[in-house]
Amino acid sequence: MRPRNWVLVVLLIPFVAVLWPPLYAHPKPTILGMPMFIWYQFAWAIITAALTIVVYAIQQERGEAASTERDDAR
Amino acid sequence: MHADEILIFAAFGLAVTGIGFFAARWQRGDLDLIEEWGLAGRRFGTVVTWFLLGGDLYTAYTFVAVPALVFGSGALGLFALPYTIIVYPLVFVVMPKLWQVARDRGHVTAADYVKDRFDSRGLALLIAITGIVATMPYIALQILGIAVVIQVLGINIEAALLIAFLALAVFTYVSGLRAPALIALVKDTMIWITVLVAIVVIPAKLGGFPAIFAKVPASKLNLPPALFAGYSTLALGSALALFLYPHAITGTFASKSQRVIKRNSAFLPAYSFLLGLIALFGYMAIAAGIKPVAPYGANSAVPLLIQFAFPTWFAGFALAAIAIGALVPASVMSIAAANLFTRNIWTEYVRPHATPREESQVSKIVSLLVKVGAVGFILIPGLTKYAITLQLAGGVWILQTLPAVFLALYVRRLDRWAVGLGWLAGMATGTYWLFANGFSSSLTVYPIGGAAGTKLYIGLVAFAINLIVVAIGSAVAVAARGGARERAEQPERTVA
Repeated sequence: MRPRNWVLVVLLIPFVAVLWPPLYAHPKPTILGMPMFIWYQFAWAIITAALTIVVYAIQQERGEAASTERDDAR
Repeated sequence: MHADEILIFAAFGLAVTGIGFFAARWQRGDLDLIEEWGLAGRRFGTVVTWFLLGGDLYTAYTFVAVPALVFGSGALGLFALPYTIIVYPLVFVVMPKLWQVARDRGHVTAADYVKDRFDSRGLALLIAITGIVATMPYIALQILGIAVVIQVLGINIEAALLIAFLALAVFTYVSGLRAPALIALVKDTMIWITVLVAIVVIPAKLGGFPAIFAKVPASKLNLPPALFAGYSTLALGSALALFLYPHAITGTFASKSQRVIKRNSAFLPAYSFLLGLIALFGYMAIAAGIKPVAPYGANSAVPLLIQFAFPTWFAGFALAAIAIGALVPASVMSIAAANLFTRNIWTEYVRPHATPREESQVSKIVSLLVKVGAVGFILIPGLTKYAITLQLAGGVWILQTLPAVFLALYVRRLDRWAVGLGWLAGMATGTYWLFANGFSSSLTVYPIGGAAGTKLYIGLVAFAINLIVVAIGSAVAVAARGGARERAEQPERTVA
């Protein structure tokens, strides 16, 4: 991975968070009667979108969008 | 049967068909070119792409089948959430890259890319056939989604399906990808209204959220440890597979820049949230004491819940939203399958010197034929279960194209023979395990992790075998070719 792409590591967080059910397959605590198993996954839908926006913003900030436009591998 | 419900349903159906025809004039281009008919000239911006991909990936069948799974089996059905959560970080990284190559080199399909990348039309043929075979039953299930909705309306299913099919076939033929894109704007607005209203109205009617979850058996609300690995592998495997589907690639290639795709990976999770809410309808149907009806069983749970909870006029609107929701993916899927056939089979093997006009004409006709097959699957009694089986298998199969399409973007030393062999190994083992399972489930027990074994998603295990074959095969190929020759050759065009 090229050094300027370290920020993409952030996008690995959701994988760990939702692909490891022992973290969240619990009946309690509940929110509105909803077991943790359910609300936790809804929460990650929102968090993942937020993380993606952050990564996108950082890439734009550094003007990376332009430089990745021409990636040579095909 | 209620007159106002049917009237509203029919009015929206008619309006949407009109929009489908009008779409030919929108962002006008020469529809005799496959890039215009089949990719809408690669001109879609962030908003249109959001609606198109949202309407295309979150299909009517998904909206019916996911809550049906929650209704019938409980927590396992929620795998749709992790699946559609992790797919977007993947899209963010991989798809802009694929889009760029495709635009620079004029690729219309994934198989176009594979042919170019590996300099192998044989490998491209494998990828094209896998895509077509995985897509056909998926289209059939969209028609099934319409059938389920029509059934609860109490009107003649055959007649209504035939009308829906004709509308779908003709506007797709005339307007190409512009039609589902424009219809998606309307249809998704209707779906969002329906779901946001339902998530307030239905709990109010059932005594609030806590009352709903109190009525659901505890065993359906949480995932048992025996299903942990199955749940994760199903989510991961499905996420890796989703953007290999031809309809997802077509929707992505139609966007106008890398930026559009990246922005959409941040905004499309809104649909994942929506799908999660729809999954909760499965629990609401349990709490409401819905009794599913033959012949669609649990799949009729959500349409019945809608009729139970809403006044007839709003039920007509909501059911129309689901039915129209089937038209968008069915249209994009038929376009994508037609493009694969035209580009990678017809002009490759049958008519190498076809003019662009002929190419686009063949695509239009194939898009019709593909849909005739799909309707046949649903209307001919006894065939529906094969559509469901084939769609299940399609997910396992399409995942086996990952090395050729995604991995090839990152790993230069992939050998085309190794990739072909890996595909064969993944297809063979995956199909064998599905077969041994009686095609009843995509999870099966593997003899690892203790005496009882572990339930895993067949597609992902087959994919692991595929990857091993690709890795070993490519290493052997590189070694056999020798270092000196490798230094001399072009980095991309490997001499095989």
